[in-house]
Amino acid sequence: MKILVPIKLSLDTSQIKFDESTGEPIYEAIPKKISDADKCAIEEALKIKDKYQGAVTVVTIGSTKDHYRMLRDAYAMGVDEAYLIKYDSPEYIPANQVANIIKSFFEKHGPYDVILMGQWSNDTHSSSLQGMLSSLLNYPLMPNVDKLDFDGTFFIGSSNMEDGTYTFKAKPPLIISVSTEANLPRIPTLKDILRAKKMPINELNISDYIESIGKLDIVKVSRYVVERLRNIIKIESEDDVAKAIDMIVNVLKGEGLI
Amino acid sequence: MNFEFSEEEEMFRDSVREFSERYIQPKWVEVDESNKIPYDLIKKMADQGLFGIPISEEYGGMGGTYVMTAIAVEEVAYYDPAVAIAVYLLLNNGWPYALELFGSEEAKSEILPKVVSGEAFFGIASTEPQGGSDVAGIKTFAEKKDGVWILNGEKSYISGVREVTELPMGGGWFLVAKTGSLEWGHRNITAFAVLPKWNGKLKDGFKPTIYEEIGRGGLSTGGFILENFEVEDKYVIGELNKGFYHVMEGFNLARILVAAACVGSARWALDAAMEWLRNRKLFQDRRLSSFQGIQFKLAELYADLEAARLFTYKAAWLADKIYKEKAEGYNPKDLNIPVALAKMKAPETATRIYEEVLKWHGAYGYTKESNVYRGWIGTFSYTIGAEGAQNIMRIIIARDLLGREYVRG
Ligand SMILES: Cc1cc2nc3c(=O)[nH]c(=O)nc-3n(C[C@H](O)[C@H](O)[C@H](O)COP(=O)(O)OP(=O)(O)OC[C@H]3O[C@@H](n4cnc5c(N)ncnc54)[C@H](O)[C@@H]3O)c2cc1C
Repeated sequence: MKILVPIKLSLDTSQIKFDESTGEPIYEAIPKKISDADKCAIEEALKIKDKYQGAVTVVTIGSTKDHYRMLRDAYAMGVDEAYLIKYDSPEYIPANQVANIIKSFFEKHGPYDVILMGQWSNDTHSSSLQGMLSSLLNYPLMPNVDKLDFDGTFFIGSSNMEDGTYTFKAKPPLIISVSTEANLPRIPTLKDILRAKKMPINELNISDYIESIGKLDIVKVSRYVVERLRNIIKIESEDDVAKAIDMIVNVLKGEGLI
Repeated sequence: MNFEFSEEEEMFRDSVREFSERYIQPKWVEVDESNKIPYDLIKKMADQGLFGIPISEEYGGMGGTYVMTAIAVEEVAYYDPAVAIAVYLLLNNGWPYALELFGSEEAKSEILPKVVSGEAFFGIASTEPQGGSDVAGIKTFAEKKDGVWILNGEKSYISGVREVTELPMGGGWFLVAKTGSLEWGHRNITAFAVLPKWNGKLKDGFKPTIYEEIGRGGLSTGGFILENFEVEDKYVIGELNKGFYHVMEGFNLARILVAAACVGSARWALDAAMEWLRNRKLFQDRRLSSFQGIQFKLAELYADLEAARLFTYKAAWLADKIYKEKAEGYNPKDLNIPVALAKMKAPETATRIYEEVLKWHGAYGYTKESNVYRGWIGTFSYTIGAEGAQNIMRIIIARDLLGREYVRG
């Protein structure tokens, strides 16, 4: 089984710092790392490989030191091949173009039986890539899986949606997107890391995969500010507690909350 | 000159950090309270390859460097600032590595894989009731009778006594004893791998006691009496009557990791303190971090910590030159001063940092809930002298600076 895992370098959201005056993130102060769900996708791919053999390929777009490091980390986890589609402009690549780049990567290096990917990335959460790829490659999509099993023939995935838990079943070829609930990714040992050091990072030219990068500028990112009503109900003595409760209920009713 | 860690060292640090965040951080207080590191945590550390970092692959180890070993100890101590787990880790890397350097092939292939797999403990037993600093004055005596060594004596304040008796496989120590004569001196000491419990069986002639200590709860300290305790010849470590020199090299190696543990724990204390200083507000909503009286102290403590860290990694780097790369022109004795600097500076810096951090936390720091005190008492074990008293570090530095003959009188 050949498995492709497209991965993205994103902000380490556990270490986000905001500029207190503008409410904007201080990008230089935030470390970059592989998107959490993408790491879970690698883990699922490796679990299949451990049990049923196969080869796991990861691919990413970028060219910073952190991109190389991310691919080295993927090797340490146990993937077989890592590709870097070199793109060194800071310009944001819209999801439809990422989908097209991965499609042409798939055509040049594939086919792959399964594409495993993270449900969304830490920093944009758009979840759009999976659907676009499914449509471009004409592969069915098993979306947002929280638990995945493979019995050698069928993939069985379950996904906790707002209205209940959905259980899907499908044979490859297939695209599966996984959430961060799917697993606890393995932590490489020193031996894994020393082995990873010897693996090649295959560099590719982005111009061989797409003609030009279109534009979708992110002009501003700011922190959510929750506006508080500051509706304060004061009571003088304990005897007024019941009265205060009534007043709170009335306020909540007035806001249409209950 | 290069002050950067390599990419694989950085990757290894991140992997130990991730492991510690996942498995050690949620447990460290419980470990300190319950006086025990759960065996499943020891096994997890073994599966992660943390007990054989500098050990060669032929003995099941990771084949890593000593710098990497120090990195692992520093990170584990950051997530276990009470340092019991970090010390368990450092003993089971430093002393098995000393065994690899000097032990017999038979002893190494028997003991090392079991330590790496987490089934056995292997520490150091040098201290005796009459005083730990005076290694030349030890009284434990080993005599060869009918091809077997018979050991008699008492060791005290030894880490891992309960662990050796409780681990399923067992374990023991790099132990020094007098051979030939009991006279005070360096040239009649031999090192042995003494395994009171091995393959799950307790041997005759080993009488352990466990001490009740004030800190570093997760790892036991105890003593034991050896009474006609038999040791096979294959367990002699290195050359006969050269044990003093072998154990001193072992101490140099272990002390680097002791310093790394103190640095990791103190780094946690400063990070926790900075979080507190940024958020604690008084005097009309001013942050504690806005007062210069606090900023100056923080800067001084950070400078001391950074110095201790540089001493530590310089010593680890030098250990790699000597033992791993066997680089020309580097000798084991070159480690004496760099290691003594690290072991003198790191524990004292750590306890000083803790003292200030406790004060910054005000009354909250004095509560058990704040947990800061655990790191304070934990690292204090090393200002007392586990792996060598502080004044002994000063003696080593002064002796090597002035010259042996000039410090005698
Ligand atoms: C938690 C803990 C764990 C330990 N684990 C181990 C272990 O696993 N294995 C092991 O072998 N030992 C272990 N020890 C013992 C440790 O190595 C000794 O405490 C240390 O060597 C000092 O010996 P001592 O306690 O007998 O003090 P002493 O040697 O009696 O020294 C007492 C004091 O006198 C000072 N002093 C001694 N000589 C001089 C001098 N010439 N000039 C100036 N000052 C001097 C010392 O600095 C010290 O402050 C452990 C100790 C502790 C606290």
